[in-house]
Amino acid sequence: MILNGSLNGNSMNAVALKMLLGDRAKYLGLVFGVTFATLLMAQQVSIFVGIMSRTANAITSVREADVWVMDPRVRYVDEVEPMRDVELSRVRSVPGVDWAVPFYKGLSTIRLADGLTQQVQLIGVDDVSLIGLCDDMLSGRRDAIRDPQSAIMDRNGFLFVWPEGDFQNSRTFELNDNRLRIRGVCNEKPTFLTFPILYVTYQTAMEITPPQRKKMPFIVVKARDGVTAEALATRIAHTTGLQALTAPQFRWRSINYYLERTGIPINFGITIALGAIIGAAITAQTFYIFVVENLKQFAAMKAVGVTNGQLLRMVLLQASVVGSMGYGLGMGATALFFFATKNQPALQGFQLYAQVMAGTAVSIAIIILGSILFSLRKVFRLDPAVVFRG
Amino acid sequence: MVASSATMRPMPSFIRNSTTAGSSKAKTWTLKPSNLILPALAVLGMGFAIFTVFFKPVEAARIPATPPPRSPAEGALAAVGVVEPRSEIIQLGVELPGIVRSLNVKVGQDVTEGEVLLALDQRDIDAEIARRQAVVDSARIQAADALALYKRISNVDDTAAVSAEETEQRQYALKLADARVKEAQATLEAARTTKSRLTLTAPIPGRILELNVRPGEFVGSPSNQVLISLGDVSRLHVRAEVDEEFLTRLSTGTSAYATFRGDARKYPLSFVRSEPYVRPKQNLTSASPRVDTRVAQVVYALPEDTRTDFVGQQMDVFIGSPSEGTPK
Amino acid sequence: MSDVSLRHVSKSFAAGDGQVQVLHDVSTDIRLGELTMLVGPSGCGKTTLISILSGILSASAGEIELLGHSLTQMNDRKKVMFRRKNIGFIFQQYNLLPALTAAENAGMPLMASGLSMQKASQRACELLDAVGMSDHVNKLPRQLSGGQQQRVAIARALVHSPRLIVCDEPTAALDAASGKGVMDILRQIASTPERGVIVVTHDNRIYSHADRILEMSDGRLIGDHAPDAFIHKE
Repeated sequence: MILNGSLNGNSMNAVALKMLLGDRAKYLGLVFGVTFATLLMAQQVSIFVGIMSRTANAITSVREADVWVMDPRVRYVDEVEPMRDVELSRVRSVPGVDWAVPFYKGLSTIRLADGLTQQVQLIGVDDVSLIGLCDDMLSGRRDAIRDPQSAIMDRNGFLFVWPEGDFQNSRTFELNDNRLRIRGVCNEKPTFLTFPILYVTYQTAMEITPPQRKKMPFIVVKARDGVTAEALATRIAHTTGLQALTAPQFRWRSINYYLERTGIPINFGITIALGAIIGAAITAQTFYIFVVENLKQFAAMKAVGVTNGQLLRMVLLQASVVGSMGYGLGMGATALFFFATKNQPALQGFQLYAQVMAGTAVSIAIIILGSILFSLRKVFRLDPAVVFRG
Repeated sequence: MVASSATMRPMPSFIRNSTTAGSSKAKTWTLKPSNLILPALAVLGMGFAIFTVFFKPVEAARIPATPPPRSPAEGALAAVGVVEPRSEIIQLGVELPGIVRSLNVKVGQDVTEGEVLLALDQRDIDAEIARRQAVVDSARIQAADALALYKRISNVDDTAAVSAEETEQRQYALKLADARVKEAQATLEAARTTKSRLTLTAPIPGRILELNVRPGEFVGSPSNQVLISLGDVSRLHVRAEVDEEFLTRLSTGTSAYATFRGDARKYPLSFVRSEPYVRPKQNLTSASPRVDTRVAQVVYALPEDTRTDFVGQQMDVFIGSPSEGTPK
Repeated sequence: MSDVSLRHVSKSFAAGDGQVQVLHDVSTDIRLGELTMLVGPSGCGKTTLISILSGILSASAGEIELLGHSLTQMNDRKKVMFRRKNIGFIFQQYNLLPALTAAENAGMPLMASGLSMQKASQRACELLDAVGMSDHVNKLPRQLSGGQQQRVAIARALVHSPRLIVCDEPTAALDAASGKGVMDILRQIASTPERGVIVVTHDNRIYSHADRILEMSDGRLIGDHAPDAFIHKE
């Protein structure tokens, strides 16, 4: 272990540790300052990432697809600019396409038995392959969606519309004067729009939505083995004149749209920045005070022959001990938070990301190092003569 | 010179011994167990965080339970086709309005040419025929009578006994009676024709694909609905709609495949003909007409052993790219 | 020959927009084997003088020679190394590290030179025995009285066997009895020919322990007395 190793090695490290552990209140204050800062940063950033990725969950939930084809005007996944039906054949004719199926996505209003209405996200999946239909079924079978007048709803939406639950009890409702029945409930990551997700087959979607000349919003495409999604997307876009994006590209395009066009990211960014600043301030201040309050001791040590280098190593050791412990505790607390709330609809799908862990580690390290170096300047320039002056 | 710390000078002898004899021992510092609580918690927390980050359930790429139609050749033309009989679909109707009295076929039944499919109510025409038969009969009797009258005097040469005028009169009466017979027979024949028009027969051998009529129903003429669909299903064709944009890539000699929805099996197609007229897309695949492009229709023949259960089924047709086709 | 010699040493600090001269042309010699006291009113430059002659402060002008080495020619790092080997410090406020035991505090100069904490403490124990602190080696500073703390500080000043021990008001915070105990120890240290002790003080109770008294006023050395003569002059 680091601590015991330093006891046997450089004795100044042991002195540093004793100094640190000697003042229990200050020691705990330091550790929990870092813990709090870590928790604040990691948790806020993770929630932000979670919310932003919700805007693209409609894309990531179609896991079979490599490439999405849509009208060139589409800027994000919730924007629908329908295409001509003929485009499906054109996309299928592009070399490198393994398969291509239509995918309906749009907003509709359902009328419940008691006369209340509810907006839903209507998803129409290809009748044959059911591509894009969620597969984590809580009740019912996926195949049931092929039956006439049948639909599948996501769990969160179901609980929103029928808070009493009871998935087995099949409910009927109307959509544009078409009777539909919930034949299954599945678990799907919630999307940004929060409306219940209603799955029907593509043909059903065509039949129950108002007639229009063009109705096909998306075509999802699988690339042949050996063809990269990027190359295929470029080729489809070039051949058909449509907008073809790989799933990650489309995802980022959607996320960027929300980042650029809505106030949510700015609002959240401010909160995160505030959290980070508060965390940084707490950490920096505690470390600064810790060093400054020990200035007299450092001066005495300098007087008896401890060099600046030794002092620097001592403070760095103290900082790394405090920093790593606070970071570990903070990360543990963050992970625990997301673990405990993973089934709450409001927080479902939010999680700790490795990138957030790394980023938080770097920022915490920078904050600690910065505040140490700032306070250490005082130590380096410290005149040992101060110890004479009482 | 400055003495190095390694060669420390001996302990000064000036200091008297302290009150307690013997030298004291300095305690070696070790970490107290209480000091390890926080690091242990930190390690636990870190471990948990890493666990949740790196050991989350993997979201495997889903493989569709039923494979979507795949294009068999690289860069093949994709089209949507509908299965039809070799004869195309013959939609039969009746010539005269009336009430359906009898229906002789069922859906899916194979019929031979000329077989009666349905008959309308024929009591009226039967009565008419009987009446006209009677008219023919009476005309024949009158004709026979006129003939007898004529024959009786035609052999008498005595002009005094039979006047030439009388002979002429009887001769004309006979001709008139014969003409009456012919007229009555023609009227009878017309009624018989009308009767035949009240039954519907199969124009070609084939299979009843659709039956939209039941005995007792009134059917009009021209009927506003298809009563019976008939088709020759001994060999099936698939009519594919190729979008006009692809026409330059289409050549008759290329190989083509078709697949049924939800069935991975590929059916090789042989070219039959292409319709010379590029028409507005009829949207074979959807009930609601949404005209959005013009298409050329190409007809291919399915292999002979194709199951022939479902005419009208949708197929995904892939026509090989010209580069790999064998031009004729 | 002299063991410590100061020649025309001046020191001025920047203060506001001008300069304050703290030492004016100080020249003197200090010998090992003696307990030299530096006395004078507060602010007369006593502390500045010992800071300069122990290499903590640099002189603005003048030559300092310490045990055969010219301090003015050393860089900061060499001064630290020199101090680590040859000079022991005793401060008015003891300046012990509150988190370390008496033995560890006393062993600090050895640890700074790279000795392990255990070895340093063990050696410090011998000196703590010598200053009468055998029962308190494992106590923390807050568990010790002022006099006991100053004894620990003395042990720390001696643990690396320095040639010169520099003391800044060692008795100022102590009662008479403790102060006398501390001075007795310092007196004994200075009785060996290879060790010198310099004590800055204005505590007239301890003048009798000196071998020689240098009197300062306003940054100048104004007198060099034998203790008896000085006590009577007071």
